[in-house]
Amino acid sequence: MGPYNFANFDPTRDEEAFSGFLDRLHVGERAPNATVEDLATGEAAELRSLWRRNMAIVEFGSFT
Amino acid sequence: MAVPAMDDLADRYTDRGVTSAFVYTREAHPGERYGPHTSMEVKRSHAQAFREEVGVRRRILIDDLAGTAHRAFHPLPNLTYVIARGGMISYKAGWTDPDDVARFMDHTLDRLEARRAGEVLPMVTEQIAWRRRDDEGFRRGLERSGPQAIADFDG
Repeated sequence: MGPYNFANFDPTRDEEAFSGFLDRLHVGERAPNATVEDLATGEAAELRSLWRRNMAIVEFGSFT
Repeated sequence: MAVPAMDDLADRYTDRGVTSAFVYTREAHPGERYGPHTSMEVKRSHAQAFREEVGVRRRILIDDLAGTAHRAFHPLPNLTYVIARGGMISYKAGWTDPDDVARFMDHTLDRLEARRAGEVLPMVTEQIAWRRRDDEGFRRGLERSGPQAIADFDG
């Protein structure tokens, strides 16, 4: 796969973007944690804090 | 991107103890206005613009510049996961379809109540789902980003 923040999408170079979805992180497995930044506060947040006490719906995306 | 409908779902399930969040990732088709993220400062400003222009009401969490959170799940552009309390993945979708998420949530929340009454047991399924086409909405995202994003997508 090319650089994560590519300047243009190339399906031949960025094959991982399409492949492997069914092979990774199956239902029943533990969700990975990562440190992210809360846009509203600018503070660091742990993804796992979303589901520590509640069920969580987590969408990933951008403008495009 | 079905932001308004997913925001509505977030409102709908809050009272049933469900947390919702949007993780802002890279731009899948960078354009003149919203090009590739070259620093966290750029990524923050794009996330802020995304919230304002698209009108996102959910909590927005910005992934780091390397896409650590995004890549840990999968680098597809518009994923949705439902994660049970404690961290078990209970739903994964390679594209976000609010109707499909709502079907899953309604069913799951009802069945969790039935489980407390000892009436049901969990099982795992795998299936092909069908999402509504939203070419217009997707196009709007590309247009916001600029002609380069449209050319990138159209190839």
